[in-house]
This record gives sequence, structure tokens and C-alpha cells, in this order.
Amino acid sequence: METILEIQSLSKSYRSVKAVKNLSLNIRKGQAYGLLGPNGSGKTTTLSIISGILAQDAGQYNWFGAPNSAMQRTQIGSLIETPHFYPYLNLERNLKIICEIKNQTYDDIPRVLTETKLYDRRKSKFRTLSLGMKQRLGIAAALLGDPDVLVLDEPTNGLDPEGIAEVRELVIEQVKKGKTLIIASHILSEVEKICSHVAILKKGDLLANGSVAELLADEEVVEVSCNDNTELQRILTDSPMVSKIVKENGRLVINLAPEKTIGELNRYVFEHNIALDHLVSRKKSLEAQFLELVKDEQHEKAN
Amino acid sequence: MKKLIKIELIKILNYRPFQILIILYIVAISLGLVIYPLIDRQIPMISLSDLFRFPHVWTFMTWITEPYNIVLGLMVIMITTTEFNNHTFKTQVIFGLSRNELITQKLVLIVLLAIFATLLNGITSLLLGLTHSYKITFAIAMENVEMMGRYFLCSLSYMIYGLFFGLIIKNTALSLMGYLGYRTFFEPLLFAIFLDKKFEFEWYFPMRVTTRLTPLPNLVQIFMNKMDGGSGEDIENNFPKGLPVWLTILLAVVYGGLIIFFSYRLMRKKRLT
Repeated sequence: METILEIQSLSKSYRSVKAVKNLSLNIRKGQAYGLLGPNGSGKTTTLSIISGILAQDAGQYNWFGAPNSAMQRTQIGSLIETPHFYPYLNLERNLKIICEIKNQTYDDIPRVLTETKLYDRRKSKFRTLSLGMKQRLGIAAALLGDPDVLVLDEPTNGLDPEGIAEVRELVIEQVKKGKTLIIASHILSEVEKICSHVAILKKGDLLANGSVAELLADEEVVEVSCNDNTELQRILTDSPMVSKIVKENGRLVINLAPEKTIGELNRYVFEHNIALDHLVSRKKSLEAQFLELVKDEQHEKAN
Repeated sequence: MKKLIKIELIKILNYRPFQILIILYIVAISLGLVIYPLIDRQIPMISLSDLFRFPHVWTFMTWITEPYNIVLGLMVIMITTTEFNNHTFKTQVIFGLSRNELITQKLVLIVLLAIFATLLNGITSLLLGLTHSYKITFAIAMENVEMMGRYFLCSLSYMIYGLFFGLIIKNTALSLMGYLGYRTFFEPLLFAIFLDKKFEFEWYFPMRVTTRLTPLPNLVQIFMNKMDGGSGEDIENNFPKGLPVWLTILLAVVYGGLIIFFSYRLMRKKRLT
């Protein structure tokens, strides 16, 4: 598949703080790539570098397989940090400036304003907008000209729950259209909902990257118990249902064998004359993994 | 280039400080048409209208309107620093302008404003000349008209210095103060200190060079030389001492060029986030 963005050993420090350490990523056409990490993990720094507003200390990046240039950025829709526009200009005029920079006609302005629900405010000055509206205008500007590549830095920042849902919907739609998306977020569920691939960053280090499906545990973890846990454990240990079984706080925590469902497990034990009084899925979510990864790292440092 | 002009026009035409300052500038220049003849009536001994006859009108008008260029300089400072305050330089780079284009767009604007200022001043001077001269021939009217070219360069210099102050200081109020302070206080003070010292390098100060592009004409000579028609003298004899004109022009061009060069350099390294 065609490579859209190639990042090679990118590094950036702010005085003594290393914001990005030797980061390499390969983002291909049609991928929805999430940069996931807590605050201060280097997401925005990385996106600022690939958007040309920050110079890296070392390493390089190539858009569309060519060394970076301002011209390439006109092909990309970006929203980095909070959007900044001319406060004294109305929304339409602000977007006209962006159209001029991107060498486009003004025809697309009504569409993006409608999609971001700002059309009624098109004659308002930027400074009169609420924070959420400003954020939406940033997204509108990124969508101008229907670019094939979108770079969004925490696009749901500052939005109310309704706004968050709307923006996510909008972004997911873009992904469905086959666009390449690079999105930074510290909210795991957001990345899970939107992205096909994820890179987990912490303090400038790349902890893990790969497809979201891969990083999501494919084994299902279930917590069970009944009035006779010893008998239950005996039955399950020999069964084809389970790949791993541990006792935990008077309950059994089992990893389901691949392709087996919780329903099948329930039926299996019932057929062996056991009625469960407790059955809870502990599906190991990306979140748990994310926290685990971040925690492991802390442990290593502490040691 | 066309794209950069369009972008700048969208920005400034709706920018309140620009609207106010440009109207102020237009009024200040064109008010001369109304006011100067009125003053003349109140001073019976000397006829000020001598100053508004061809060819003196070109030298006199460029000299008297030279300080108005400070308004243009302040305007450029505000236009530049507001981009820093609102982080809009950054936005423009994100969407696809190069850092060089950020400077180029301001230079294009400066050239447009200088052309506008020169035309406005030129038309005002022409009208004054046409209404005050006894005898008008093309040759007389066009004598000294090259002063308008020097006014253009002067206007350009004022704004380029403004751009540089804005780029270095970034803060609007501090840049305005720094620019005004340098133009009206710091350099004149240095000039006064070094005046009549052995080495005459006070004439080489950038703002001095800029103001000397359109110097004070020799008024006594103008009033004495009442006969209309070409003074018959070299334009240079009308001006008090200082560097020769060609050197002043050369220095203005060199200083402007250096500042433009450093502006591009500065922007290449500037942190926009």
C-alpha cells in the first residue's frame, strides 16, 4: 500500500526535556492512525513537526514519498492544537484566506460550514465564537477542499458531550470515505472508536504500535464462580473452552479459548450440571493495556 | 504573488486599526489642499504659495509629508504583530504557506502601500502645483518630479523598519514604542551628540538616511527666487549639507535590502507555536 507519511528517527527537545525520542512511524493510505498518549507524551510536538511549524532536532519525515515542502501541506487538512484564526474577520473571510493559501476556489466554504454546523454563524466574527465553535471551525478549515489526508490534534478538545459525538461522527465519516487520518488523542475510547491503527506514546517514547485489533487482546477474559468452585475448576481445566485458568478472590478468572463465546461457556458448564451464580466478562480492553503499558514503564523507571 | 496580495487584502481591509490609520493618512495628506491656501491668507508678508508652485511643490510636499510615513510604519507594525498575537502566522504555515512567503506577503503589502502613498502625495502635489503656478509648461511641472521616487523609497524604508521592529519584538505595544522611540528620540539624540564631531558618521544612521531622502528645501532661496519657471539651478543646491543625494539613495537601498535579508533569516528560525 502507498505510504502517505514516513517518519524516520524524529527527535525534538525543549531545553532539557526530550519531547520526542527517535520516533519512526509509517502511515499508509487509508489508515486511521491514532497517536495515543497522556499529556506531555509528544503527540502535539510530533504533529507540529510534520505540519512544518516546528523544526526537529534530528530525523526526517516524508509526505507522499517526497521531502517536505510547503506545497505538500496544501494537500493536507490539519488542525494542530487549538485553531487560530483572525479574530476580527468573520468565519467566511477566515476560510477564504485558507482557500487562497490552498489554491482553491471559495466554492467549498458553504459545504464545510454546513457540515460543522456553523453555516448560520458564517457572518459572525471569529472572536464571538464559543470555544467549541472555534474548534469546529478548525475542523471546517481542515475539511476545506476535501483533502485525502487529515491531521487532527485532539479534535474533540473543548467540546461538550454532544459536540464530541458530532465531531467523532464527522471524523469517522471521513475515514469511511477512505481518507488517511492521523489523529492525536489522550482518550483511549476515542482512538478505539475511530482508528484502525495506533501508536502509543509516553514521554516521547514509542511504547507500542500496530493495528488496534492486534493491540486489543483477542482472548476474552471471564470471571466465574458457583457454589463449588473446585468442581468447576476441575471440569473447566479439561475442557476445550479454556486456555488459562486462575483463582482470584474466591472466583475463577479464565481466558476463553479462541473462537469460544461466553454463551458457549455457560452452556458447557450447565451441561455438566453446574449452575453459575457469577459470570462477568473482563474483556481486556485497549484501555487496560494502555494503562498497563504506561504503568510498566513507570515500574521500570522506578527500578 | 497574486495569491499573497489577495490574502493580505482580505486581512487588512477588515482590520479596524488599518482602516483608522489609512483614513488618518489620507486626510493628513489631502488636507494640505485645503489648509495651505488658508494659511497663506493669514500671513501677508511672505507668500507661502511660492512653495506650491512648480517645481518647488514637489520638494516642499515630499519634505513636509515625510513624517506622515510614521503612520504607515506603525500600521505595518500592527499588521505584523497581530499575526503573532493571534498565532495566525502558524495557521498559515500549517495550511501551506512557506515561512518565506510569510515575509513576502508583508513586503508585497508594503510595496502596495508605498505605491498608494506616493500616488496620493503625487496627485495632491500636482493639484497644488496646478492651482498655484502662474505659468505652467510641461517642462516646469515635471522638474523635480523625481522627488516622488525618493518619497516612494522613503515610505518603503519607514515600513520595512516597522516590519523589522514587529518581527523582533512581536509584542504590539512594545514594538510601537520601540519604533517611535527610535525614530523620534534615540536616533535624533545620537545625531545631536555626534553632530559636528570629526567623523561625520551621524549622517549614516538609518533613520537619518530615510528622512534625508526628502530633505528640507532651501526655503530662503525659494522665496527669493520669485520668478516662476525653472530655478535653473541644480536641485541639490536647494538642500542643506549632508551626504550627496546619490549616496543617501544608495544607503537607503542597502539598509532596506539588509533588513529584508535579516527578516527572511529571522522568520526561518522563529518558533511559531
